[in-house]
Amino acid sequence: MTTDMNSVFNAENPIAPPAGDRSQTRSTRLVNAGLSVLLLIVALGAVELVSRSGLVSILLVPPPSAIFATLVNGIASGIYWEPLLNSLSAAFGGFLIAAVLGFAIGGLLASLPRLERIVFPYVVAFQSTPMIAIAPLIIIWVGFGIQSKIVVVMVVCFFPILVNTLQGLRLRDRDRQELAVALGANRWQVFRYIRLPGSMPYVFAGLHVSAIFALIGAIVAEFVGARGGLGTMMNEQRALFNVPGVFAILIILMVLGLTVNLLMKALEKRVTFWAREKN
Amino acid sequence: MKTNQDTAEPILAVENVSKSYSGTDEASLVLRSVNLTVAKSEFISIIGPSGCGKTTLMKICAGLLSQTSGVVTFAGKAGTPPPRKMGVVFQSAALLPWRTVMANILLPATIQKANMTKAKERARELLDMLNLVGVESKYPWELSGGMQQRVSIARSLVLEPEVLFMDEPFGALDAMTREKLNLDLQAIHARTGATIMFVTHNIAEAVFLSDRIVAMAARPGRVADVIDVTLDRPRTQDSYVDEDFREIETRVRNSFDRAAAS
Repeated sequence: MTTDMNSVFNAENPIAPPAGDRSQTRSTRLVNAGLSVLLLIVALGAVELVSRSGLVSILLVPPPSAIFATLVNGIASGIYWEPLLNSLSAAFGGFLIAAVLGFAIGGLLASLPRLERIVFPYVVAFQSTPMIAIAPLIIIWVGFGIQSKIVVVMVVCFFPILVNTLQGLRLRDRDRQELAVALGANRWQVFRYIRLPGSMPYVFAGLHVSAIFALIGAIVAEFVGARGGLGTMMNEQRALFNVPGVFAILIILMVLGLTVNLLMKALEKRVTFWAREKN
Repeated sequence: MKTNQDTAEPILAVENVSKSYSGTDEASLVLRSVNLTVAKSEFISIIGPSGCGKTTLMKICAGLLSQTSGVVTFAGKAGTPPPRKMGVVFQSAALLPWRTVMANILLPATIQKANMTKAKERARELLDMLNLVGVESKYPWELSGGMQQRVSIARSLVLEPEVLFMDEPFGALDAMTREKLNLDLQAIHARTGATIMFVTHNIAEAVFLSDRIVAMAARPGRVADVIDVTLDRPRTQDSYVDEDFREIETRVRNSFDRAAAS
């Protein structure tokens, strides 16, 4: 068994990517992208056909073309802007507060190991709880305004940022520690010049996850009662049985999520450019 | 050029230094009563098999580890050199990947709050001396292992230290890069006049670089022999095949065999 494992993971025997010249991989990539688009077209076409064929009620499964028309009309009439801005500002506000608090408290706990050991079980407990489930309670406590949404987002985003900051700052690289001693660095300098920059890949991974959570948090808060925003609008459309309207908002949320994802990726790459290149 | 350690003023002295991580019995001693004097501007190599405590001895001298008993004296006063007056080069280059080569070299000056204008000037000289011109704004991970170790040496020299501690700095490099760096290190030693304590397990490297070689033996870690290297400087690639060179190599090798037999 051990020998089998060794032969598989042996450094002299690496599982090499298939060799091939660059142009071939580029053309393969192009073909793959084409196939992705084709898949989308086929899937949408199939739904369109099923919907129009009368096999299922057009009320339940609207044809994609109708959804698209609803979306375009909605954008043209400007009905999405206000709820969009409302949800986004709640998500952004909550995220920002969580980022500042998570990072600050993470830094504090990392520099006070004893305190960290005392509170860490609770951090783990909270992190293992689906914090989104606390949203109804927060609505009861804070009310139906944008404040409650901000609090929900904050609660959802806080722990991933805290835990990642803590993990990043806790990293102990023996070489770097010895270097710090040899250079006569004091505690603050070790933090400022070595531990803090070294933690950035972890911190940004936490921020990335939380940015997505922020959107989810805002929408779920609206589902369970907070007023205004795209989640509320979606609820209204559902109550009116306007299924294309619901789908149109879903598409907006998807685009939002993708945008946030891309933005965070770009930011991450910019700040921690050195991390992926290393080794 | 050649320093005679009997007459030159000692800059670093190790008296009766022992080190153990657990008990005090013979077997658990990493170092057993080591005595050593290093003269100013001397190049001293510490060589020995793995587990003989050569790195431990160097780290105690540099203040990176504390001894169990005994005294280290720097410039006549008990204690290890202050960070400002020493440089350390580790086995791994230990560069910070988010800092450029230049910023890495300047790190000691930043931490010691030294005069940055002067430090930058010095860094430029070092870039030149270590064949690093043109890479100062690159990042460490863009460089080869040999280049990274050059940057690490430049970093250790930026504050013009009196003592330089080097812990098998070229151990991970290929033989050709290693020989090139040995030549450069010899030039740096001549130019800066720094005292260098160099840990290695490569006999030829130790003979090539040193004024004196401390051969250590293991279990317990102790000094087996101290060998003077009386070869003229500067030494060149041809020195390796020199008869005197070979003879000193043999002496170092024999000292290990004797220690192993006793």
